[in-house]
Amino acid sequence: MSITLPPYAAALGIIIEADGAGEDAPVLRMDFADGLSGRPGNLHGGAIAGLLDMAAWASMRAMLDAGEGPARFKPIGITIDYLRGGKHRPTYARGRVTKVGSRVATVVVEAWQEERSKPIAAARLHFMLGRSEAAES
Amino acid sequence: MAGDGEFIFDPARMFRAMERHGHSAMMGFRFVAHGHDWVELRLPWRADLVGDAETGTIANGAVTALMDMAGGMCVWTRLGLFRPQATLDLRIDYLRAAKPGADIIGRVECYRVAREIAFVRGLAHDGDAGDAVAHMAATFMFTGPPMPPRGSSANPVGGPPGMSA
Repeated sequence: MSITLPPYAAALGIIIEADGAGEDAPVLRMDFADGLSGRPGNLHGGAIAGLLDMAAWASMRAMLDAGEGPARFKPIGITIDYLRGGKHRPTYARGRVTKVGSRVATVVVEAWQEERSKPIAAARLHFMLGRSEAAES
Repeated sequence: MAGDGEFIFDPARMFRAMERHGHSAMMGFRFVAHGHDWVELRLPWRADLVGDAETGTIANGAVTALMDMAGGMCVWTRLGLFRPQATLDLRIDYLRAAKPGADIIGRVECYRVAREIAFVRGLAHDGDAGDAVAHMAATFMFTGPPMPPRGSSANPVGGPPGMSA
């Protein structure tokens, strides 16, 4: 399966590092660039947020493309925990759809650098599901 | 401390340094206005910031970045000085889709500064402040002591508060 990331992903330099196999969500990768820096020596929290948001979106897209799920979804909200400072090196992120209901899906997503077991940030999102325009508010 | 009488933290001035560097420069954030405890920034619409190629609206992640930046700045504005900090948590509720091609304006206020943590909240809109596109609440954790303004009596040599440039 292959998904196309939105323009904002390209602006941040985000690429798909690994397509998910089966229903696994893809791993996204964001290499460091000057345009992503915040306080000295650190990635900007906004750039990390962008990566988390894209990884969550990609996990939803991949899941829905793989099955008979609803074609459309839109975010209701995101809650981000910044766990460690992001350094000037590649950052990875992967979302996991933890629940798909009839109206709402929940995604958890983590971003990490050298070690997957030491995430630099994590987030939880809810998406409104819709099968057609009529479901959009 | 601020209140030297010779300098009060000026977010507009700091932003003129910040907007040329790093993520602010890449995103194209613009300073709009501030009060004693709030800062308003603008994210001009740009094709490469779009989050949904079908609709042409600015990406949610870009709105989050704008609110994160305004949030950090309003803490310094309320403090009246620069103090290094990092975002601890940040929540955004997406109230409605932004209009295609619209700039996003984000205003964030710092409503409480505790010993280690500052609390902020804000709204983002796409032209009508009464019809917000997103609500934001966040906390920032201080990562070091306050830095007196460059050129003040406590920092005559002009150390770093210049900014994360």
